[in-house]
Amino acid sequence: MNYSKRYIESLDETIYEGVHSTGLRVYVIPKKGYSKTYAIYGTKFGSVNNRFVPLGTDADITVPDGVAHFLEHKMFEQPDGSNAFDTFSKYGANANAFTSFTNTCYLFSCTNYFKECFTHLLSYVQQPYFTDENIKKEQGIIGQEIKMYDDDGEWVVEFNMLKALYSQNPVRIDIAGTVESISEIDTDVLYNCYNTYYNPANMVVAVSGDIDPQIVFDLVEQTVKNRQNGKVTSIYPDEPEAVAQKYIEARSSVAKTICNIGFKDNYLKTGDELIKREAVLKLIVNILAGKSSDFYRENYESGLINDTFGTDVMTELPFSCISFGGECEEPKLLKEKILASADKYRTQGFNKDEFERIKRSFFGSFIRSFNNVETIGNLICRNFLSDVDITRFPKICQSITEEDLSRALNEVVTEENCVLSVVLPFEK
Amino acid sequence: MSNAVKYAVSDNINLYIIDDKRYKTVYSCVYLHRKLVRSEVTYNSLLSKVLKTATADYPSLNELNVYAENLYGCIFDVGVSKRANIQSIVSSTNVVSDRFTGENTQAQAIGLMLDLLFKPYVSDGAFCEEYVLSQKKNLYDDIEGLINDKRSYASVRCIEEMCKGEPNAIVEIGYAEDIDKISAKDLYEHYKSIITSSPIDIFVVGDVCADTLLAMLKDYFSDFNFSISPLTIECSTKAPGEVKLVEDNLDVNQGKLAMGFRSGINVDSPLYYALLTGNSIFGSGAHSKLFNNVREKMSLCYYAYSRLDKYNSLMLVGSGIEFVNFEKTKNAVMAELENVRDGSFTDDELNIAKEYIISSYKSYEDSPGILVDYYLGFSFSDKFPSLDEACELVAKVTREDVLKAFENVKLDTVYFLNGKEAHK
Repeated sequence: MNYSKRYIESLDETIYEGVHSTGLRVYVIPKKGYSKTYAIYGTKFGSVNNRFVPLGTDADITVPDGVAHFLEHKMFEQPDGSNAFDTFSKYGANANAFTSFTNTCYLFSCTNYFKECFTHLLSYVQQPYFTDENIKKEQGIIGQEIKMYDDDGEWVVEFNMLKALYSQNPVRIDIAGTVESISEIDTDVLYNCYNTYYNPANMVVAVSGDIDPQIVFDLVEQTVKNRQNGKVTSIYPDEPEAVAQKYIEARSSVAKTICNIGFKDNYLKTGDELIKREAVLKLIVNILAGKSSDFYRENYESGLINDTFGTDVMTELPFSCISFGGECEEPKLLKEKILASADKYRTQGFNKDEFERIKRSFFGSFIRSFNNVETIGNLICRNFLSDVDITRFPKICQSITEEDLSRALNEVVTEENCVLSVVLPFEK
Repeated sequence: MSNAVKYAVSDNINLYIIDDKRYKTVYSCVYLHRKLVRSEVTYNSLLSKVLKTATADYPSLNELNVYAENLYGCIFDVGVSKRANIQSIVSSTNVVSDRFTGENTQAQAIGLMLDLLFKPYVSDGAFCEEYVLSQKKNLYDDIEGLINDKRSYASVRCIEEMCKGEPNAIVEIGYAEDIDKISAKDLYEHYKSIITSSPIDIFVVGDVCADTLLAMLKDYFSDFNFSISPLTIECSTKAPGEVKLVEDNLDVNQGKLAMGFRSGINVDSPLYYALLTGNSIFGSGAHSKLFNNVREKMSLCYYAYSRLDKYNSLMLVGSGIEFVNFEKTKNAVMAELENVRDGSFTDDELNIAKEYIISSYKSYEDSPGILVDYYLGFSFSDKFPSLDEACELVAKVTREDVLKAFENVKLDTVYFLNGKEAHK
């Protein structure tokens, strides 16, 4: 297969990119002298994709919550009764998989037998084997995974925040679904999802390590089979601009009250604009409440926040939001302080020094991420999964102006876009 | 593979350099080693938090954070860690290499790592009252917050009960009940009493020059009058007695099982690599018996693993389960242990486990932090093997070695984090 090669000077890295005849996208980022080689195979199928038109049909179907994650678990089942982990183990490789809101990815890292492991990765993901019996077994395992997260206060506070922000968008549903919803999953559901979303044109492979790119492209050529492929139609409900509820509360076995203050961003972007939106929002959360901000200094000193306080930005194709949170005994006061910090910058504008300094720190952390083959693979894979070019991040970040920040601040960080999610300890 | 080269800066101050041009960053850290004792543990833990808030040059957390951001987002930290009978205060920085910044970022970051520990912000012969007060609250929150992560909490509680009376029972971040009694002045007195008398290990990983570093450190330390006595690392050798059963009750949805075993084999023992291999067959990795039987076949859990504490000769099993499955899971774990002990594993299982361990050793060299943690073993014993040597030792392990190592593995404590009546 043909591929192109691109050197990125600011990173001192070369990226090889090719498209297989099936439409499968392939990336290789060689890392000379590295012990580990990492490969990741991903599809644009996540927990938000619960309504779609199956490939080759006209009518859309709705599938049970948590099906993408369930399917991820079931891909490891092999027709001969073995487990896809077994082959990786034989070669001393470490294999895993994960499901997010928008993607499912299968991965491994190895220090030897790359060819064998890579061929296995490509093979087992194109070989589904679902039976009533193996589905039943998985319901027990995933049931325990769900319960594990139910006891994780930080997880609960974040997912409740998404529930409060969104009234329709399926990002409000837990990635793994519920014990009830996964009990509705059967072989038909799984094959329907698989045949639609796991078609090669909807998938990407990225490899990073001390590897000759030609070997990767050749193995893809030899292993990836032609299957029915095409563009997937996912259907998302219309999400109103308004938040679903302003306040949400739960109890958990946590030491102290924890909270998340979320802001909904209704301006969804694609391509370079998505990278820019993400960078703008990251700059905003850092300027408003990052470790060098006045907000952080005042509220850390007064004890309103502690070392657990942090900020987050989630900008994807189907949703976008930012959040601030951690342990805090007075969540409502914290929310007021965040809004006050936003108002301060709305009135006085952004400070050039502050803004340039945080850009510098972003540049540093971007360079740092190219130290590690796993991080590289995951980053580059996003190029296809989110339809962006992540290597343009430093340039795009550099181009951001104070006006960009002011506009986004007014679009996102307002009282009406704001929700408060609180997890309280059980009463003693 | 990457090896750490040791240089003596002065008596009991060592520098280890892992010169590796592949990294785009320089990771550096300095360990100040103390004996892990109940009366001092909270002092050291609180001290690490106070040291992280300011230095003489950057006298507030805000100024420190501004400085680090300007240094291309240099990551810095001061914390505590423990192994065997040692508690260490660790200061570290991680910065983008000069070749990407075109500036002198590496030396500045190494300077910051040293200043955090050796040039703290002091006023009127004490640490700043306000900072100490604020960090006392933060430390209190950290200690109380151990309960938030139920998985690690169960493991901490199991060790606490299992190792009562041994240093290993001491939780390295300290104890809430000690915090109030410590004043800013006490803490500074403690700092003065330890800073020039405790063994120091410095690690630097990245594209660095040994001569320059050594000269820089010698110059930096020339203002200090060190008088350091070496510490002896003592590993636990306690034999198990009657099996202890401990249960806590919390408002949780899932029970957490933790089982503590004693092996009598630590990293210095000839059987260590056999124990490591047996542990992998038993419960470390997706090839292991715990994963394949307790999770995959019996569908009892999402995770079940076994890990070693290589200094204290412990083996710890952890799993998250339905409350009602406590006995069933415990018995299943014991049955799998028995299978390893009596040799009910195939040659394939043995070889896969060895391959898996060798592969993870090899991958250590791609992660500066993990490399340092590994080579910290050098401060434990001069005989400590390099990663290459460790791979060779694993490759030589035989079935008989595994059986011999597992002969010594005995259950000591079973801990269960159970629900409250209403939730069961």
